Amino acid sequence: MNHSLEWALGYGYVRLWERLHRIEEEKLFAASPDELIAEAARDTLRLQGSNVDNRDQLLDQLQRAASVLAFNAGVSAGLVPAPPSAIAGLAPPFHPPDDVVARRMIRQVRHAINEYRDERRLALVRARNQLLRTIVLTALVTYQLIVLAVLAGAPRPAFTSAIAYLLIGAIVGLFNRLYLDASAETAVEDYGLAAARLLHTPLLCGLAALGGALMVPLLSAQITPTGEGSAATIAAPTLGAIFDISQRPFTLVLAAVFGLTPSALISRLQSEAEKYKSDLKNSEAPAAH
Amino acid sequence: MPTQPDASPAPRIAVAKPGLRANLMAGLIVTAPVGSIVVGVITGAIFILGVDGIRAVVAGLMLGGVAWLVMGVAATSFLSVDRANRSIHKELMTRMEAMLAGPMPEAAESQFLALAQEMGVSLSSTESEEERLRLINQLRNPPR
Repeated sequence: MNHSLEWALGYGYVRLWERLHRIEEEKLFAASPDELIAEAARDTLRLQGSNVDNRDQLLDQLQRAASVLAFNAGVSAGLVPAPPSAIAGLAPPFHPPDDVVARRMIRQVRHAINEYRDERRLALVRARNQLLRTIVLTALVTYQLIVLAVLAGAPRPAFTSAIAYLLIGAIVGLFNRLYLDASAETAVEDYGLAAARLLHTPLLCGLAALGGALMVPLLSAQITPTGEGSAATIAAPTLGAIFDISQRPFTLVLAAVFGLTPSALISRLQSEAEKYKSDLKNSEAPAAH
Repeated sequence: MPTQPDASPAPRIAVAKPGLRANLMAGLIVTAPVGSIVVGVITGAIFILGVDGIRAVVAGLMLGGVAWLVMGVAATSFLSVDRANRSIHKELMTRMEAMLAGPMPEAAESQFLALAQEMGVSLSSTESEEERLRLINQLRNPPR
């Protein structure tokens, strides 16, 4: 991967976070007992609000480790209440090897939290890049549709009408985005996922509107054929007639309605991103350094 | 008793200048989502304005392609680590600076230097070194 592209795609930043976390864990392992106890208390708060896998076991591990460190450092036991399991499994007096074990346990817990957060960041970046790829492919296929219409000699009014339907759908889709964005979490960095979704919305909703404006008249002609009795004939409207706003102004309404149809997909994408962001927010450190 | 200031000043984080390696392909890839839409919009506009058939497609491709190329070139200015996503870069820098505050174990130090290099920052002591030399000179030749 190109070095510059790595930053633009966001993968580089996730990798940097991972490296930073490994350094942080090494530093934590070598920290003074009082600092370790404080960091253990901080991680306890982070775990309590998060959905980290094996959260209860990690919390128990932290309490045990903090108890050992507090005892060895002569810190008041009131700071870190030892759970019954700690008393049963790790009873004082503790020895220097216990101190190392406690440090390792605290480092492991920090590693678990960091890994959890890095996975969420990577998921956001992947979702963003996947969406961008979808946009490129959709835009290229739409371009081929335009080229086909131009080369087939589509009449200009029909072409203009088709663009009008596409724009109506795009506007309705963007309007719907306003509603969805009202509940979006903005305090957490999403690595450009919201911007990619914004770009994706008009394209997808515009195409849905265009498809709806084309399909409904054709299908309605199939369902209700014109004519009488068994000699009923299916007289489907021509493309020129469908894409003529002056003849069929109601198609604009159809386009607007169909412009809303991708909202289920868009809101699903959004709810997935919101989950990752909420996971990141809930496992954040309670206070800045 | 030491007679001179400490010879190992604490490393400082200095933002390195972004590289001038403008990668056009990277710029085009980054701007592809918008660029591909721009080509379509320009082709459609040319057709509506009165150019028919293959000429409209070719003209749309040429004009849209040029617009995309311009976007790609402009985007290369924003591909470096400190500009592609300023807020994350700033957050990482803040965390790195916070890490410098305490003692750093040897195992972590080499990793930290590698990270700093990748972040496009140099852990140099240039400024403090100059300051140190100035102070040494001042001590040796006190102003009268």
